[in-house]
Amino acid sequence: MKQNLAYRNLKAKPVRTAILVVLTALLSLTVCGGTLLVSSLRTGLSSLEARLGADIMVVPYEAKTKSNLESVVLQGNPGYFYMDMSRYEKIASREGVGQISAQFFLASTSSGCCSIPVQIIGFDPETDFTITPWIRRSYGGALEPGDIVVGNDLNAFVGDTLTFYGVDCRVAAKLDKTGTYYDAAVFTSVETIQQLIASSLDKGMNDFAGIDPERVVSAVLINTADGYSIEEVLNDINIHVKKVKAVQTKEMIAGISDSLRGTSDLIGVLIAAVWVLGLVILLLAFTMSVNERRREFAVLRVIGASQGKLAAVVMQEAMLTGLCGAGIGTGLALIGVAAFRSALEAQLGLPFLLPGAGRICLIAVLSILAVLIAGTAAAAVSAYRISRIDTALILRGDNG
Amino acid sequence: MKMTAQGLTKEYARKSGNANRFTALHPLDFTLETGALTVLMGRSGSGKSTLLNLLAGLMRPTGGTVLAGETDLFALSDRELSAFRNAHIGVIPQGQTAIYSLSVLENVLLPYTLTGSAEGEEIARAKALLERLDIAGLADISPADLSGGELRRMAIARALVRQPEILLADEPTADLDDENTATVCKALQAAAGAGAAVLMVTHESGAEAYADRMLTMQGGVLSE
Repeated sequence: MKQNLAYRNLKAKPVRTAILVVLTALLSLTVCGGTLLVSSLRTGLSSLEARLGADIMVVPYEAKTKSNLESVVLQGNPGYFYMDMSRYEKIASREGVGQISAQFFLASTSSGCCSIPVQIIGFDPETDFTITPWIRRSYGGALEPGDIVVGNDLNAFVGDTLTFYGVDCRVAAKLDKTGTYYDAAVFTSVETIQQLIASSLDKGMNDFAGIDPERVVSAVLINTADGYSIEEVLNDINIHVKKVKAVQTKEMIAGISDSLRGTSDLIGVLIAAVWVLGLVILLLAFTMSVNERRREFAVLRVIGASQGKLAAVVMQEAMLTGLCGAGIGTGLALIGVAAFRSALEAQLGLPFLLPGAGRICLIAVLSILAVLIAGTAAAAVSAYRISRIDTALILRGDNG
Repeated sequence: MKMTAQGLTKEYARKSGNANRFTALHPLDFTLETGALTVLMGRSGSGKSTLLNLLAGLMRPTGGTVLAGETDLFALSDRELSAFRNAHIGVIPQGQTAIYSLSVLENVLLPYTLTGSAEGEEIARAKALLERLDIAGLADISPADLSGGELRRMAIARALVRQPEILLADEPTADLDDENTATVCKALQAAAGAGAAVLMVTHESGAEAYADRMLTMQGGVLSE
């Protein structure tokens, strides 16, 4: 017969044990949930940065001044603007321009001509360096005319046919989740989007009547050549190419970065507040729990428990409640963030992408460890004090 | 195992008052013989529980030594002293001394399970002790459901289960009726009869009838 005294003590006082477990669960819920939230926001931002993938974006001047650039590029609101192809050629000839590729935007509508209202982005597979590497992760083949690749949030699957402005398009691939607004976009080759723009013009459903679909681009993406700074190339384009606005992509997401920092700070403050409160309550709970059993601990000393053994019993109780609470809290945090990620994304208004399984596991393990360390540290004070009790004084009555 | 105290003294520091030292035990020489039940009597505050706690190694003396056999108790580290007490000294403390998260039988087996495990022979011995002390039927219940006398008998069974060579009992019959007092005294007498050195501290005169040797403590001074 073996007896785990710590386990038996916990079992004998279910209410006290439940309070300790709930407290430790709350600590792990906040630290794991908060860390996962911040990590998802950071992963979302990194994903957005990677999707932009260029040093400079050049758009028609009106697109920038009318403030719909961020709306279309960052927030994914269906929209479009165009400039003449000659400006692309002028930009390409400027000094310091390394990689360059054009993108073409078109917004579908909710009317009968289109299956769904989405942002459609066309790119040139020959020159593209931002979208292609990302699409290749989901689709290795070449996009044939009429082929489209859909974002992860769209309710369409490989082999489906979606209609835009009366043109049937075959879904060739569905992209992995990015946590950005690109998850609700459709991508296609330059030939296909030119066909769609032409069709929208034919149906009188394009705001840019009279343009030649084969002679327009929406945006030009640039990576600077070696030896040139981004500012240098950006200023050169803004000065020498008329009716365009070159913007640094990092500046475009500066607002999102600021919001992310603010949200992270707020989450950090909330976690700290819960932890301070939780640790104080844990400390009090362990102190009370041990104090009310001083006589029992004194009896254990009489039977032959060393000071270390008494401390070990208290620490084991803390470890058991900590493990149980941390497991529950971490599990709840993982389930909660996964279940409510769409609501969180909408509420925060920031790119949101759960980190990979490995990182999630790491966060979970570290959260459990943090709570175990905090819980045992809170119990250590009581453990030390109970190990130093005056056994004779506690057991002494009035007779001696 | 014989227990010998030499020049044993204990002083306490008072927290307040003019006399800031209080001598609970004046220097004494004392031997607890094997195979005998020694009864130590005295009024409340006479120092008898202090002597018992010193002999059990539960408090450190101001001066003097305590030898259990050849072992100087206060030369041992806390871990060594605890292990020695567990293996060789059975202590029956004052008052209720149950661990309420364990059953009566588990309480009795605690001297084994605290440092290891209790197997068939140990469990059988614990059950036999409960039988002898007339609480065998209560083995599986919680100590919270026992009366004062039953709790005291459980504490005696726990102190005896490892068959200690030294048995120290502090007021084991306090608040017990005559029948329970007799049961407790007979159990201590039986332990002495089995070869243990037994010290029973009490202020009840009825214990004299069971004593092989009587001692009296008054004002921290021991006399035969």
